[in-house]
Amino acid sequence: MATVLKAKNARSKRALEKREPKVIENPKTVMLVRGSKTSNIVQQALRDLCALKKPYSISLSKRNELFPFENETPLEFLSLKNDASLFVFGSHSKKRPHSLVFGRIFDHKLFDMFEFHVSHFQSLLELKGQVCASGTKPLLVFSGMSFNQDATFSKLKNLFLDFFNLDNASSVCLSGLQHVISFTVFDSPPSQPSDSASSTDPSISTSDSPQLSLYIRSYFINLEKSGHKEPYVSISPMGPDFNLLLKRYRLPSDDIWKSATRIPKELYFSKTKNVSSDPVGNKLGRVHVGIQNIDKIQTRKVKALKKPRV
Amino acid sequence: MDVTKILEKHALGNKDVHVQKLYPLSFDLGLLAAFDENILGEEITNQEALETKLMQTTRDATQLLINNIFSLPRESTDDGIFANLPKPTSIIPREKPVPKEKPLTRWEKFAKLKGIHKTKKDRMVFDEETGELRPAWGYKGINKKEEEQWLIPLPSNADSSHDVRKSLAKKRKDLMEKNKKRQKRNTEEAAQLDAKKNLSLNPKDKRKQQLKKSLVISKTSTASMGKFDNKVEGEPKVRKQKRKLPSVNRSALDEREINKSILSKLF
Repeated sequence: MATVLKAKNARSKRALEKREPKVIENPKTVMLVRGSKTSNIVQQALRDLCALKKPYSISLSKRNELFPFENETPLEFLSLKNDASLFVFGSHSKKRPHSLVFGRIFDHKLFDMFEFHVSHFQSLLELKGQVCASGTKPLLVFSGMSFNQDATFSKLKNLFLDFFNLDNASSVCLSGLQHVISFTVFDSPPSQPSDSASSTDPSISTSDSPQLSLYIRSYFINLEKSGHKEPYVSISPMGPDFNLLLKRYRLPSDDIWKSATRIPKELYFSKTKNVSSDPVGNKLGRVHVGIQNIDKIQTRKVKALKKPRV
Repeated sequence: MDVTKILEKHALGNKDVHVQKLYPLSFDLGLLAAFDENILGEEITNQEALETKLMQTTRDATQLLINNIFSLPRESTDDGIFANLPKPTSIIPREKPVPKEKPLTRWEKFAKLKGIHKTKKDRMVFDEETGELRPAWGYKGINKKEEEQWLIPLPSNADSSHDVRKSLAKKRKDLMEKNKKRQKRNTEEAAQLDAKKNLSLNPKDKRKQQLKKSLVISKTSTASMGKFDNKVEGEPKVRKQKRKLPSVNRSALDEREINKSILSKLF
């Protein structure tokens, strides 16, 4: 933050305290930003994503004239105002039709973002079937080798893990496992070297891999009795479904990544070495004794052991 | 007795929860995520075939993920059965930087020295005279009790213009003023401390450091690694890193490993 805000009354003080950096952070909120021009597909996609992230989403549905890849400051401003660290920006133009930008913000500065072209979209409303309750924590499935091998896709995996991690819950209700989101990238054909389109800004990269689609599907989970401890899983399409093509993207620099992934001192647990406990509950310690200097040990004083005088 | 029907029914209920995969999936149960790295093949253009393929792979992965979640330690509450999740293994960036440590105030420093622990004071105080709870300060606060009495005795040496009510209120206000002064002093001292810490961020010092750095680099850029260069006044001393050689009496196992690594480089 550029300016240090000072609370004038107790209520605003409490509100500011909620936004302060914390050791254990608040769940990340996402803001869904509508661009100056949007298609039906993009608008519906924003609405659906808003519904999926329900308690932690803010819809900015008025037209916002901003271009994240040209100038990120308006987005950073919106993040500061709304205290949101994730964003989806939707727009539609002749040059970039049906585009969605997924991104993250760290310390009210842009962290990373990925622009996609939506080649196929199916809304929550279009698919008739069972729908999970709002606010359910989704299961995430990433299939495809690219998520581990390709550098950009592995960063994308990290983004989506962050994006759909609803809250930092330490436990989950077993009957509440109703929703799974799958991210699939098919294996790339034996690669032919392709020239990456060079952009003027060195920090912005364009996807140079031969256009691989990212398939995002969202399913409703039905847990059936199987006679085992684990239930049998059957799934039915729920929506929203996306076929996305990666266009431009921006990755964080190493030092920003480092400062964003720092673990606070309070969360480190000290390793206790050489201390264990046995099943009864006794505390056991392993003690290391240094080498004894046998030459200098004082033994019984006998005349015969005396050093001869030279 | 014919049990075939019962057996058939049982078989129907018994659905296979095991999924065979070439490569086992990896999981991050803290984030409820599964990572499937099995070969999927190239992209499918037929829409229907694609959907069925996506659904099939997702179902299998979900089954495995749910099997894993169901094997976690559980806890049953009134709201249902909960599985305790482990800590996430994937590194997820924070949304804001790690909070800075706040400098201690004078009182906090003193309390630490003396081992005084803060005890939370109740805002409501029992008023013995009326037998009811009253706030310690603020509206109807007990700290205004004296000045609000309907009759206040005048001190014997008071002159005619002396207002007892006002003087009592002033006493109370002075205490507030005193505390405000202390708060101000604490913030000023904290700012001074901060400035001291950030001394290296002072532009002059920054330039100095940079100059020293570049001097060291330029010294070692000559052919003799700066051995025959003229010494500059105030030149930083540079410690050379000691060359580390492998120990002579290492074990045969270690030696074999090293030889292997050399061989692997050659072929």
